[in-house]
Amino acid sequence: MLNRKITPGQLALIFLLARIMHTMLYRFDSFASGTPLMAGQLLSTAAEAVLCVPAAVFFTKFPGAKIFEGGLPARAVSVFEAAYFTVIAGGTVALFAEFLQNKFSGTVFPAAAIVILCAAAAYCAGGGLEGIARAAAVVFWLFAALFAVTAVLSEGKPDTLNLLPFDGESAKAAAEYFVESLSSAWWIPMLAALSESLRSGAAKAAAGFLILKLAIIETLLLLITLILWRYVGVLGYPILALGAYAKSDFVQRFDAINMLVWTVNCAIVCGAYVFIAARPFKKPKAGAIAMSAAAAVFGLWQYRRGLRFNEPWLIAFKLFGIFVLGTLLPLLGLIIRHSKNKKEAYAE
Amino acid sequence: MRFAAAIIAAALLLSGCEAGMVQRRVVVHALGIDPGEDGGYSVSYQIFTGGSGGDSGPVDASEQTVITLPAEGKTLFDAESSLGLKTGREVFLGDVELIVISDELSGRGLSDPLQYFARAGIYPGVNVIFCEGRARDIIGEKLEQGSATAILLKGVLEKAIEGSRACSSRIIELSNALLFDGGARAVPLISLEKREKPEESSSVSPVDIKIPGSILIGENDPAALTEDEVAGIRLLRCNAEKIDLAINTPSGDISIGVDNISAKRSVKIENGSPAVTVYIAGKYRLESAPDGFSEEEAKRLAERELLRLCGAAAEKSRETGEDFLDVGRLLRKYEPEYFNAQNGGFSGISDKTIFYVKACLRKY
Repeated sequence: MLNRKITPGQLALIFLLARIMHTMLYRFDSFASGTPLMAGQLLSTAAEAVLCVPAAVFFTKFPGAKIFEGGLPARAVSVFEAAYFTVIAGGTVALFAEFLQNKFSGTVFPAAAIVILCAAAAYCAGGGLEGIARAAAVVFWLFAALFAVTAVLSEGKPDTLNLLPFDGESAKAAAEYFVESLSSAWWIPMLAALSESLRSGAAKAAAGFLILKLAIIETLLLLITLILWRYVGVLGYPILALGAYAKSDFVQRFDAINMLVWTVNCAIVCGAYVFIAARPFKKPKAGAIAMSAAAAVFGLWQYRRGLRFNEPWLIAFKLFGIFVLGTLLPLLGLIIRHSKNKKEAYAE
Repeated sequence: MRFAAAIIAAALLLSGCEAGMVQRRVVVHALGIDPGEDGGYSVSYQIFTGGSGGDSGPVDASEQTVITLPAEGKTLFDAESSLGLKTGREVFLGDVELIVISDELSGRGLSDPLQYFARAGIYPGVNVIFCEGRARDIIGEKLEQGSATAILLKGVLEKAIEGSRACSSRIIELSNALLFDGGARAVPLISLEKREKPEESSSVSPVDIKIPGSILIGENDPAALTEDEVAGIRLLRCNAEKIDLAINTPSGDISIGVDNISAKRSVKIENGSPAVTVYIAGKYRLESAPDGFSEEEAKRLAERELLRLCGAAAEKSRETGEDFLDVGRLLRKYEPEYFNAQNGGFSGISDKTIFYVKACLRKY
């Protein structure tokens, strides 16, 4: 595995692709759309900005450093980290397989999709973080182009009557979406895990990601509200729904191009998760194979059980990981380093 | 980059449709829905028989490559399954361009069909229209213009929508209004009139396609809407762009084209009732008039005609008690306290609503 360092921009793009992947697989079951969701996303971004502060400060102050230098705490953290990102990777491929099954029923064998995507993720992880980051940049621009084409070709007419004022019921919907959105903020533990491979500027990566994410997701939610309204619940997947209301039949294989980009994105994003999960292994390539196999097993189990992204225990598990790995441990690391520095200063 | 290139290459090679896959599908171009036996549906599927415009060209939709197949079912899904069994092929509805429903089915409402259209993978931008008589007769009609009926009907409908003589009735618009928001919508009504083919001119089609009005679908029984009422709906909902006016005057008939229409509306509560104010602006052009007819008089008549159309729509709204003018949605956004106090939601709002309309036209 290559250990060349990446830039803050590259790291922000990896986070962004991971978030876009999650948004793509997010299903609107409750026919919810409108201002509550937009408010929930705004609140979630504000909360994420607060939660990422310890990791951003730690890795900006100590670029390339580890939170725990070694010993049992470091091993325990890396084992939990490996388990956490294996679950995230497995969940992502399981939801992607469910998406394929829902929308391309009869043409895809979901179990095969899970296994192939995990194998591709192992290959990506084995190539190292720099390779993942470079591929992520290509996929990001492809996404941007697809998004622009879809917006231009959209047949929907924006209806501003759908932008409703905020009331008591909106607050409840906003709170629910806030929790769901915050539970998908595993970019914060990713920041803590991947900042060791960052040249410098962890805070820049976090800020860049948060600004781009807010702009992209809020734009998406605004378009859904103005153009699709409650119909988004019929089509389920929001990005797909927006694409489905665009007259793109003159572009031969437009849907295939979309699926190609989404599939590549799934492999790259899961590659980043497997890369983190494989860190406790001494032989990184073997670790990547082992952890992607574990992700495949979890993904197959999740798919067979029909578990959704918003299962209460999964939300609790993801939030726990975000708080512990992304906020609490970097904060602990900062406190330890601070007291160590103080002791050294006193000793001098 | 090698792995990305490998994935992209593999995906490119694997993502295309093989020719056999297309042949294993029944590609449906238009749906005609009639009442079936025992409360079920009789559906006519206008399908491609596999003709194509060459390797790279679009599918040839001329009448030579289009046939109509009927299928019955208790539900629309049953009818689709029945067609699949009959043809031994997968029914593909992603290419449907138009859905025609017999007006005899208007009493059943559109909830079931709309739910089916959404789940069957039909493009949400497809228009749903009613027809006078049997939809099968219209879908299966062979016209002489060299195109499949659905394409011609769609063209006629689009022209009527453009000229504000019909409302857009896309699946997504109808679903949002009828299934989720609880309002009402005017669904265009199409009719096909056959006449004797003139012997001296073989190039003239023996069929007239007309849109004589619309059918109002909402919470109450369906009601017929005239062309004028539909034009008024478009004006009061601020989504009319152009309209051609034919006005009878003592000095003769005049035609005025009104273009670049822009309208704004606002709502407030006056004496406990919603009051909607609509400002309509646009440019007029005197198309034909008796000699000596003044431009100023034409402007005055056109403005008065626009007000008459709006009045017809408002009157219909009060008469039917249906909220097809989106007053409920206006109140929900701008007067939420009043809207929330109406426990019935959208119903009962239109009876109390007062409209103030002002039209101001400028010469083109």
